[in-house]
Amino acid sequence: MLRKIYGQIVGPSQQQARQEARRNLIRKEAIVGGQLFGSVPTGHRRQFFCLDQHTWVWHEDWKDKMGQEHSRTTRYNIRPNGVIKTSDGKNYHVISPSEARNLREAVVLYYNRVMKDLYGQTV
Amino acid sequence: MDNNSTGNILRYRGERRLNPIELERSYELKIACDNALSAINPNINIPQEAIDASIPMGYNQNVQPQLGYFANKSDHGRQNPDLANKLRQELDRIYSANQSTTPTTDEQSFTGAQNSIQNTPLAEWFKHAA
Repeated sequence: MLRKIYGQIVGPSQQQARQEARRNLIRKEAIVGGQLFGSVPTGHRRQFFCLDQHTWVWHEDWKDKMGQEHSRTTRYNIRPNGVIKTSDGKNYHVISPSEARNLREAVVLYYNRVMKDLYGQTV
Repeated sequence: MDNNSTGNILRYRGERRLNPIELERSYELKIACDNALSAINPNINIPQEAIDASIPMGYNQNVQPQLGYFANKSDHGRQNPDLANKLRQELDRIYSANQSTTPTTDEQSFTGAQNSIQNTPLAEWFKHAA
């Protein structure tokens, strides 16, 4: 809402610049987020980031031995009564308790690391 | 602590001054983190059967999966009294752990209700009416 009102005041070009700056921040966060889960296999690229107030994304892409590219994007949609997971835009389902606990830990780690390393803030 | 240029935001010493976009993003992150933490209660141990029995979102996009919903759902051949009992016991356990100071038995609750009614004008009316 605030973003919409602000957009009407500052005009489209400034709004686009703000959106681009925001996307750049998320790209940097995604790199930090991808390092939270240990080492990444050679040839893999892993990203984990907060897309918005209710969505967390895990993305991984890699090339197989034949040089073919693969990718998997998993979204965690936070609802008041639980977390809905979808892989590559399909198979919506409620996550298991153990996965929920892992996601919870990842979210806390992500927030602490990003706020400290990227934004230079004390958490 | 010192004030930044807007005079509204206090920062600890050593913290970097954020530009407006970074500030907005950091607020968004805080809210996202809070949302996730409140949605995922680490003390709730939902039986795996409950997860397996839940109706996938893809089955009906309008259905919001909730404990009470799939515990009592009787259509689609998913009725499972044992599972419903397990869920009720788990919810009772969580409720009693969170509400340990409140009366837990019907008798105590009824006594409490009687005591509270006795102190109201309505209780006086009942007394005279009887």
